[in-house]
Amino acid sequence: MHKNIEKLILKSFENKLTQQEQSELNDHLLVCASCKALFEGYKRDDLLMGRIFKNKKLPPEFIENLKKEISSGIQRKTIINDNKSIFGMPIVVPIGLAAIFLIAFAGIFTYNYFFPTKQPSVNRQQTPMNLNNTNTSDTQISEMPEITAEPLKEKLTAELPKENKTAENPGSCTETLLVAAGKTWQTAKTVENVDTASVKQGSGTRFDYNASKEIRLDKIKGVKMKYEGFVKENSRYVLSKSESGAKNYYFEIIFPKKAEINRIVVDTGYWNYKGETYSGMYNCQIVYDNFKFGNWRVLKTYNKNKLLHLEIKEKCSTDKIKIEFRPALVIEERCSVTNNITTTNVYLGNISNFEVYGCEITK
Amino acid sequence: MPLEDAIYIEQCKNGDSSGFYNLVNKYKDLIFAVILQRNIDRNNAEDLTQEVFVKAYYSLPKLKNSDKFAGWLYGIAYHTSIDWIRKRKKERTVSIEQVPNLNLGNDQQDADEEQKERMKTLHEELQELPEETKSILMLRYIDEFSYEKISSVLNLPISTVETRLYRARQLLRARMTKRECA
Repeated sequence: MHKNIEKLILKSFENKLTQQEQSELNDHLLVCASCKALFEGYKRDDLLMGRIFKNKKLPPEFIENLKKEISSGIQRKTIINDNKSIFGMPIVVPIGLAAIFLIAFAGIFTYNYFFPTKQPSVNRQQTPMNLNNTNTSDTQISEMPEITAEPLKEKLTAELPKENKTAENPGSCTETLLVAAGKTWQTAKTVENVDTASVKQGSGTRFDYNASKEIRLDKIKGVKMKYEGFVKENSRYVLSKSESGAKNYYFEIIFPKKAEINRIVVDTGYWNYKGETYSGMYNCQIVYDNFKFGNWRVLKTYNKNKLLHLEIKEKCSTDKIKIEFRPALVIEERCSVTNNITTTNVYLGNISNFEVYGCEITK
Repeated sequence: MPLEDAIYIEQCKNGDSSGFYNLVNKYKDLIFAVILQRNIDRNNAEDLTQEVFVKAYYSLPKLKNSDKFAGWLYGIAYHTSIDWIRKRKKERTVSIEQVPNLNLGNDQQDADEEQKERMKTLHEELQELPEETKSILMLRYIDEFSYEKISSVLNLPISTVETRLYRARQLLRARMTKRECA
């Protein structure tokens, strides 16, 4: 068998032989028996393969059947799509939306469960401190005794021995919460664990807060009050200390059990120091005991506050809440010649009313 | 050919289904043969051919390159028939009597027993050939596809088609010779 002849044979089946090649092949096949046999073999294969593969025709009605199948398929699809639609939307859309809402709800719920703290605060009372006007709160701040600069200085000096006494007696002063009576606070006895419910309550309207779910948490049985640096003066608690270093002056309420606080109302007086007036909560922050982590968490911070009535709408779960006071940088002296100003740090606090609203957590 | 296909596909994409049926008319026998080649009986092969075109009809909007329609359709036919075979778990090789698509009917009535036997042997050998080789031979003999047509269906260069066809014939002949000598 000749290789080049085999190529020509195969080429002949593709009708790609030139005339010269065709004559060469024909001549060779006449003289070479093996190549002739090979040619016959290829020819047979070609014929048989033609028979095997050819005539595999589809019936003429195939296209008609296919058209029917496709049109019925389109109808089926339409019906399925109609069944799977809600308000013209594919069913996946509402299912997806529902899933997103569920995930979002679960996320918010989980977050609130583990971090049950802050909501954006709303401070309804926006009346700036105005010494000539009556405060909008029921507590008549304008009726409170004004403390001027000179008395303050005197007080600072006069109260020093008292403070020393307090220092000798560590643990601060713990008192039962003063129950608000009418428009001012009533003075309570300095006894620990006094039942606040037994303390006479005033007939003021501000405590008839019309909220079915909310209660006055500071009025419930077993509530204690604790403060540092404050002194009782008439119907209010005042803080007036000129300190160079950082001191921890605070006013704290301790609940007998964990409570869910929704709202805090604080009424404060003002200080008049060398012609400058300062709110009783000029520089302070309201913090609560984050019992989960054993630390204090800030609920609200006031810097250079000028409001006398504060209503803080914050939510938190805690058993202790306190107002921490920070020093105010006040003008001590102004030189008339050079107009230079000498400043000093003074802790200023003035609380006439402290109400906490919310609900008890029984569990 | 690809240009013609592209026109039909465009018609179909524009909502004119006549374009699609022109394509069906053009390729139905090829697809039918491709399916029959897998030893699927005629009735099932007809059903599968229909299935292939139904699939193609719904998937046609996804076809990006219209020039490759033939190869794409061939691919659908190939996978559809393979899936069908897997489901049925049929044996790959069946006897010639079980293959009605061999069409031994009228033409074969005159043929002698020897030729009948040869045809059976050739069919068996064809089944044993590698997939590529078998496909190329099949395409060559179905409606006498040109190299260009084969190259577009199998997505191969024309020179490769030529070489493979040459080798396919050679391989088949070698196998047949071995059988004949045995």
